Amino acid sequence: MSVSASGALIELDHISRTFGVGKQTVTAVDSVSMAIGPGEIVCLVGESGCGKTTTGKIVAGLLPPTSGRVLFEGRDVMTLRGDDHDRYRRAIQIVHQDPYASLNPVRTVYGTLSPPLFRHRLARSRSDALKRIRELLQLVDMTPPDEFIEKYPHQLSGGQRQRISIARALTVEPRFIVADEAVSMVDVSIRISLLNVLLRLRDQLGVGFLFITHDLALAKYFALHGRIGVMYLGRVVELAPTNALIEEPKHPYSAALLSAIPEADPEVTRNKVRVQLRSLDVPSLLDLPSGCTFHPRCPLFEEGLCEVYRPELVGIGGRREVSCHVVARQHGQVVAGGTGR
Amino acid sequence: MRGSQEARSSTRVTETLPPDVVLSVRDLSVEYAARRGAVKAVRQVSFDLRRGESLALIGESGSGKTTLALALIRLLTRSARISSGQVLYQRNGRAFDVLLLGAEELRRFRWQECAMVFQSALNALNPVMKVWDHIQDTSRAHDGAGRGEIQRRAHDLMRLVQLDPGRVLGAYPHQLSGGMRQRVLLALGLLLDPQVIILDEPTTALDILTQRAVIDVLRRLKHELGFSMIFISHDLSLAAELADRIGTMYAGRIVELGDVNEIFYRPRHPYTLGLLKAVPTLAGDVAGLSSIPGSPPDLIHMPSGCKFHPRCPYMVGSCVESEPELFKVGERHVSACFRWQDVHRETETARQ
Repeated sequence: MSVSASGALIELDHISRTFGVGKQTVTAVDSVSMAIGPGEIVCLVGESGCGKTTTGKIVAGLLPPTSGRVLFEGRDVMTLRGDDHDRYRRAIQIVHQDPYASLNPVRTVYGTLSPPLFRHRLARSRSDALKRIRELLQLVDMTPPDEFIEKYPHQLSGGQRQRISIARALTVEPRFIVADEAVSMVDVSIRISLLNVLLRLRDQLGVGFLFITHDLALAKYFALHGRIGVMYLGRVVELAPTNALIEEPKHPYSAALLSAIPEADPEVTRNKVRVQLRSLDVPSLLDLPSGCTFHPRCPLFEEGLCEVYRPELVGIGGRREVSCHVVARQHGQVVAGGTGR
Repeated sequence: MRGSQEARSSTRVTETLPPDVVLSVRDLSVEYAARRGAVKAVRQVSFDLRRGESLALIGESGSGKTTLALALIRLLTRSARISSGQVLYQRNGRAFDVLLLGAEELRRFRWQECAMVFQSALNALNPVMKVWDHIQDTSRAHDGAGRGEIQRRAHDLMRLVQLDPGRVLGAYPHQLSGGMRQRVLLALGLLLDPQVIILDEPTTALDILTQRAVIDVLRRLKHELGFSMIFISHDLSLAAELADRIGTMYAGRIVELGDVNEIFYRPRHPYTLGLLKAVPTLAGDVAGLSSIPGSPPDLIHMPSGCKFHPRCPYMVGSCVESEPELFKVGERHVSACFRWQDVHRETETARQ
């Protein structure tokens, strides 16, 4: 799938987002850029507070960026009006983390799924809507559909509720779905089946995904043929094809994360070689380190370089991008000097 | 050690336990009273915990793991009732039944003999008390050691869990990160030198790098201090890291129990096998991953026979009629499945 700027479905162009905390300002997302092609799967991973959810909300149009642009089919979404704006809003949907909170408890499945159908004139009558809802329920593996149409959320299991959330996102025939920790609230035994539902949407309908998760093993499963972006303190520190990132992480933070993850295999997990960090403390977003924000913890830290200049995300070949002076130099990139802040 | 202060007389049982067993749970059942009927949260659970051993209880939400852990130190809510069983605890060659302890004996048993570290580190600490106050409070309530001794012990413990005593002891809980709070709780749990420590989802809410720090601390402490550990987790990878033995729970029962390598590489219960297949790993292949169909049973109106039969790919007629007992399927390995040999065959074939 093409990801060139011209062919991208969604493009983030140096988006940043700040929030006021008392008199101070927190930069939750700091100059994030990436282009996502139609039908492409990109996973954003990182620890809590790294800005992955905020990025997802900006992509979904639920939160405007403080600076930078979001482009939909090459056009700045802030300039879209009328039908163009409608088309953009319909094309991008979001599935939230908590299926217990994101469904209205006093609405049946029909009551949840039918309003968007009527609102966007995808159904003109109750029987129209019912027909479409049956198709949607089949798509998310809730069969036979008639058994569920009149059910309330409390009559459904967590996994079934999340399927309804997915079906709701599908009502408006989106081309791209932001899935924010969409399976982390459901039991481990059924996560794979939910991911398979989403993957089938990609295969059958060409829906692309921004899949936000803290679980790299899930990211590997879901984005097997896509890319993974690793975020740290509001910045994307590495963006690479999934297998390349998992097999051979380039950024020291990605490497540390991957080496720290416990694996469901005693031999593997007990014999893993771990990347040792220089410090366990996560810096406060209110008081970010200078230069590269990872430098106080980084095993590759070089004095006079890393704490002075802020690294940019640069291509190092093989569709891989990394934001690290040391790694960039190893790959023949010219390092800093003038890009510092 | 504080053997002299342990629970006394009336509750001592004549039965002797093997010398290396610290806790022996026998036929334990717990029910909750609900409007619709009795919720059978724990059903006929039996296992032995040996000295220095770490046992992981794994299973989905609602499988009864937390209820079981709470029952062991009798912290169940009022709506719960222990309907059968014994929890035999042994120290210095003497055993007693925890379920028969009187109020004062029970108070001593908790924390001094058996400590619990709860899931939510923020909720388990008092927000208006400094860490040092928590330590003093606990210490005073249980053994009343002198201030100097408590202080020394507090400093030792903080260093054991890799926290800087100077910084942490004077801090309020909100001034610490999630991983630091979790380690403070762990240090508090160890304060009175218990033989057994129970951890409920010890790393669930933590970030990856913090989780790693807590896991490493736990492994080292267990090695250095030699306590026994029961930990509850839905996370198979944590069990793979820390457990010596693993018990898989389903619908309130331990359906499989065995050494960690047995459970991961030679599972003999379809539910354990299903869980292993449902969890992707970084190192493993993505092929062959699949979810377990259906959802866990209603604990009030449970299916007949084996409670897993509606979701089980191995189901046959007898599974509907009666519930299988735990069969011996290997060295120190039991499984409650009529068809464990078929599960066995499949996993052996898959390994080749």
